[in-house]
Amino acid sequence: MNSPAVAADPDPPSSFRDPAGPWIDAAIVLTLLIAAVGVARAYLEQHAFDSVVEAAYRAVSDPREARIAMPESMRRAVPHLLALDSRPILFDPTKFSAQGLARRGATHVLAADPSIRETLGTAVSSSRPIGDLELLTLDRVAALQESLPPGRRIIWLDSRPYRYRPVSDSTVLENETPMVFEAVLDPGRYEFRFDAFARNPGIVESRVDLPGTEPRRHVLAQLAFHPFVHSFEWAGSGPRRVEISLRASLEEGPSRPIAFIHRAELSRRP
Amino acid sequence: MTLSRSAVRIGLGLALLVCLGITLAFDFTVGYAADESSHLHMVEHHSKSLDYASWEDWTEGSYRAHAYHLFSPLPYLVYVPFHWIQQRTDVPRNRITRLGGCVYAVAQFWVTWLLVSQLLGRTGTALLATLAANLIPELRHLHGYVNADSFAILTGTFAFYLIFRMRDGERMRLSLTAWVGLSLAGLAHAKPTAYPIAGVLLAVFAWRLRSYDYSRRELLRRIGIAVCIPIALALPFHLHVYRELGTGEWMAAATHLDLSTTTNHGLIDRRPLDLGKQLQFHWSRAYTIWMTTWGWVPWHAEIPSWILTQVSRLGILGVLGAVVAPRALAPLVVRRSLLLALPPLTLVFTLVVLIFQSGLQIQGRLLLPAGVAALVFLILGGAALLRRLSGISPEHSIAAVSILWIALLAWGNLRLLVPDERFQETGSASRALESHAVVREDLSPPLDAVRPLEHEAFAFEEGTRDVARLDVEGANAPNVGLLQ
Repeated sequence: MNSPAVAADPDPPSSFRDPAGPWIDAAIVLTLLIAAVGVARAYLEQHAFDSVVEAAYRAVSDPREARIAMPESMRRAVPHLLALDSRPILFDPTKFSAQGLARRGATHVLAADPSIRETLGTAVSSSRPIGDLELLTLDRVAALQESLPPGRRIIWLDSRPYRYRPVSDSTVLENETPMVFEAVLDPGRYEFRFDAFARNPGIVESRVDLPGTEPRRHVLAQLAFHPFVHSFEWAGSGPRRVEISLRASLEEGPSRPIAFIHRAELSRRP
Repeated sequence: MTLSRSAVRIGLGLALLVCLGITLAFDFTVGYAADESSHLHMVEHHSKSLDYASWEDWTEGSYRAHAYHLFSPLPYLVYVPFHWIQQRTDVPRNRITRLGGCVYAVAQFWVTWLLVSQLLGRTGTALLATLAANLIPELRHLHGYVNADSFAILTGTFAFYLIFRMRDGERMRLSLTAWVGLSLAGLAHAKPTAYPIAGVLLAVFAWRLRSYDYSRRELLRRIGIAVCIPIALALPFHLHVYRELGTGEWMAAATHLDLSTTTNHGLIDRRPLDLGKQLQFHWSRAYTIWMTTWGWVPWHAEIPSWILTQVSRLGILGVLGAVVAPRALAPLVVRRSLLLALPPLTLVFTLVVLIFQSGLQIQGRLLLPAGVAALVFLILGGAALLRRLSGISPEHSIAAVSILWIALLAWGNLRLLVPDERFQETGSASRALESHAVVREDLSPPLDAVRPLEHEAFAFEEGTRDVARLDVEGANAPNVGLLQ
């Protein structure tokens, strides 16, 4: 492998001379410059929100316990918040609700535009500016009592809160043990959706404790059928606290009979 | 084996026809490969758009186990013209789309020939060795269904050709330098499992440059060409991945396995495990490395697993020995000492990178891009050993080993060309997905309780694609995802 270096060719043949050399050199320099600009730009875009979310993190009273919710457009800041040991929540500004954020565990909301504050309404206890954004403190007690407006949703579980690297683990649904989700609902039509996977075949039954609603049975077949949907209507009067439950009945097998719930959400039809 | 130039050409044509024939036969006999539906999804996308595939297409259903939308469109472009024809005909099961594999079959054969003839010259012996090495991707029907592995293997083999094409002490022509750059660009567009080969190619390139006394400007020009071509051709793709991931990662490598183990199985937790325990675990099931590399043969089930385990362990130790003391293998060298040292080094390098990249999941199939070169090397090494033992000429020993290899492969694999219930396994897609989870979950004792990995390549299931389609069609909500 170790060959001695060969002495320079004092007069290389003409075929070895590079007549296009200067042009090649110019192209190399240009390519490197463009590449450097592209990399720098991508890096800066990736870290554009880091300082803002860090300022928000420093501004909350108990940063380790606090959970900051922010619009999905700021998802690039998630790695930075995770590095600060804070697990953020992302939301869609057109579909989120005060109750949904509270049930998800949010304590603060980074608002990028006034419509977010309007949607939260009386569930905001205080606010302070963070750069161009506003850091809202959520009144969780008030938020949990707010009904779900039409077109809005509650997400209890989401193991994939930003695109690829999950922030939280999927929730284990033990065999024959119910998992209960609570919500305060006004009369209206609703859709409960969840993602589930189990290695052992079986079913997951969803129930809604409202009069006139039937339980639904969803078959788990080793591939992640997604999502399972249970639609129902609440035709009573006034807001009501509703429980939605999931119960798995899985066959025994080589794997432990458990199901994984990746996501559970309830949306109110417009 | 000395043959006339025309005889070698005729032999090349015949060997190519054999490879094409096998490709076509598998095109029609293979049912649905476990992950073909995801690859077809990519081809379908690129038949409409040359832009990168989007997350939204992969958000729902079983496709989301494969992060192929984070892969380059390049491997799929070969299939696109055939897919256009497919869409205008009534031929079932994407048979015409799969014909894109014939392009890869021809290219792979040619590149393997380049590699082997670089080592052995354009001789009849080289022809036999080429056919023997090339039968592996053919008989593992890599070209018989739509996938991205064919591209990775092709670029990996070409990189090895260049590794041997560059010579110490020679002034490197700019054209060869440009080929190095193009090869690096190709590897950067291939699967992440090909990236370590790019690293080795770059290292050898630097080593070769060092062996000639260039002027500074000439040296920088060559480095610039080799580096700027991949930058120009592949950096935009990797910048796309960086932005798309939004996680600060530059490559999709880590997320691919993450996705397959998390979104379908919910096994998101990546708590660090004790390294010693993991090494003990993998050592105890070394035979699965044998099963999942190209040393796998259909009749492996007839061989007791303890034999495979011992063979695999000896193989691992042998490769490590070759890296630690390459000069010890010098007597086996056919033409130069580097010949024996580089491929094992590359394989080990690849393995180490992938082991740590994929959370210490050892899967032999991740070594595919280096596979053909490794087989060429295996044949030459085996021939050199035979020569030492028997004293016959190098040409005859290489020919003998090649013929033996072809015969073994033919005996074990050609029956696959005939549809056989034995290979129409059901439920395989689930098991293939599950196999990742088995590795992750069962990393604690008792080690004996661990089930072997299922082998994806022979996992065909008639209904897989239908299930996947239903799955996606059923997911009608534009779940841009992950949101409140």
